[in-house]
Amino acid sequence: MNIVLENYLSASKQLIEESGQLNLRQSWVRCRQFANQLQISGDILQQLPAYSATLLCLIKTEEASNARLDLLKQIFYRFLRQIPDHHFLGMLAFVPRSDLEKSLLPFIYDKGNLGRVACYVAAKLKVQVSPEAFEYFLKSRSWTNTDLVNLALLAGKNAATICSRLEELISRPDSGVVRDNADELRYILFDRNPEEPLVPDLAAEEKIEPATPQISKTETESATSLKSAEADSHEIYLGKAKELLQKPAVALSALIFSLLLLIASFTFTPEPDSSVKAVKKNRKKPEFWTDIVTQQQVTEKFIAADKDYRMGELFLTRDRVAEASSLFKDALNVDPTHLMARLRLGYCRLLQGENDLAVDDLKKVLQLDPGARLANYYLALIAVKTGNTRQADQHYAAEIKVNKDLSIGLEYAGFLQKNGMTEKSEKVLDEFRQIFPDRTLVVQASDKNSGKGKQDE
Amino acid sequence: MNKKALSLTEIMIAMSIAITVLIPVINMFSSAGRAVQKSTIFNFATGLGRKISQHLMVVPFDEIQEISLPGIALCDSPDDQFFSPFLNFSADKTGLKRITQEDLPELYGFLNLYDFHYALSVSNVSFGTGDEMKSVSILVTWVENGKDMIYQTHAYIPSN
Repeated sequence: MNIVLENYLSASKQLIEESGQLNLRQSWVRCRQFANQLQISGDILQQLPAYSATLLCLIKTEEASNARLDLLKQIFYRFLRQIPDHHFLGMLAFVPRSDLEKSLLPFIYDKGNLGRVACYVAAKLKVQVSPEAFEYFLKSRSWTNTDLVNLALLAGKNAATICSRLEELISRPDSGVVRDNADELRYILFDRNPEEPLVPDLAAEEKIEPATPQISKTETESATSLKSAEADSHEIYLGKAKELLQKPAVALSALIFSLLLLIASFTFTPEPDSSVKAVKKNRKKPEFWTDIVTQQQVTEKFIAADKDYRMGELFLTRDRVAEASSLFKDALNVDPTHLMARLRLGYCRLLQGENDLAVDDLKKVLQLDPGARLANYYLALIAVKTGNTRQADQHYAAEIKVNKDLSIGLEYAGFLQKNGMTEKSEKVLDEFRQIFPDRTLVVQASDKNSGKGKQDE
Repeated sequence: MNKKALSLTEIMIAMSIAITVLIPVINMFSSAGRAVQKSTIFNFATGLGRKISQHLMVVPFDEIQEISLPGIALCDSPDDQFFSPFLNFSADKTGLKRITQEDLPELYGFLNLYDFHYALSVSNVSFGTGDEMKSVSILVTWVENGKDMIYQTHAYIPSN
């Protein structure tokens, strides 16, 4: 049994180094052979590294079976106390999504490291969570910014729905959701659009309570005999190691290796003590800074332009379009690449009836960023104003591709209906009904379009 | 020839093997360490931004002033309305704590290491007499692995 376990370990180690689909890798057959000779027990799981245990679970259990879910839960409970290595993550990528959702997501509720790492791993594996779940996650524990970024990544395509749910929750005093957390999550989903999960900063190691797997008597016996055999083999290895170290060449190599390791550990410690050289004070003002969220360069020129842009936005809140327009122009004079200032100038010009100038501005925005939100919407409004139905349709369609805004969707559906494109209008409404299933507005608009009430909705 | 002695070739081989093994190990440690470091700093910067924004809500409207880049350092800085003095655990001035090596060594070490600064970009908007608003961009800057980083957040403060 001991040899089988050792063989399984070495085969799984080889398998993880190979690439390609799991069952087409060279060591797959060997892994299966040895895995099939092993009995799954809590003790065996304790002796395996995370990726090996996951592989054993994949080989020995059926997809979506209770046995697999139980085993995965044991593995997560044991190994998600610290940031998983790339081997473990690589192996988890082969676990079917439905199994991951049932076994991994419940750990996110945990208040300690386990919850934080589970959230990080779920984000890393691109697991998607239903919009309703976010409320419960937020209620269950306190959330740091890193955790919220990772949680936001679980939203997938449901970001818009989650934002509107959070908005409702924030306004409900009895919701039990910490307002700051909900606000921050909404902000991350709406504005920041993170792409990569962030590694959580973990608390000092927690004590792991045994996961109490159900082990049968025979399994316990075999595990005990395995332990004593292991102890014997450890002694043999220790003896051999001592013999080897008596050889001068080996001893010297070991010494060099230890020295290099020691030097490396000093060189690469991530957060050295403050006594280690700090950043030089009174340094020059840099040419640019890198934005931690967007990773884009921020210059002093941009910050100065942003000041005018934000003042312009304030004037727009009071419908003072002329002042807003001149502030957006000022912003663009300082930094012509300020995308938002250009977009809002286009909007002001649209409101002021300067359609040609507005089109120029909005097209410039789309040249700089083809995925810019609202640029196509404003172009659609201009096209509607000038009676160009075909162009309006194109711009509306382009807008809802990048911006699943409910009011724009309804406006588009209304526009299509008004212009006799009922079928297309229904399609748009269907799309938005799926994104916002709880919004009666969509249904009402649909009723209006079809001219009859839909009792079942 | 002494068979137990080591030749230069043997030492070179041993060293090259050791280095070959060590490089991936170092890479693994350093990349994981950097990721944790990055998230710690990100958390700190967002927390700092939020703290300043909350503080701005209670500061008298006229006292909200521009602080130009590169801004004010968080440690060893002269007294200001936000961080210095930083804490006061007692009812009188004897309990005042500032972000200095003597008063708060751990926090000081962290802030000094990354050279954390903050700046405020303030715009005054007047919609008419008594109806004013300030748009404040809160800029937190620091140096991370030799790169100048920034975190931006915004607050709008009405005059009444």
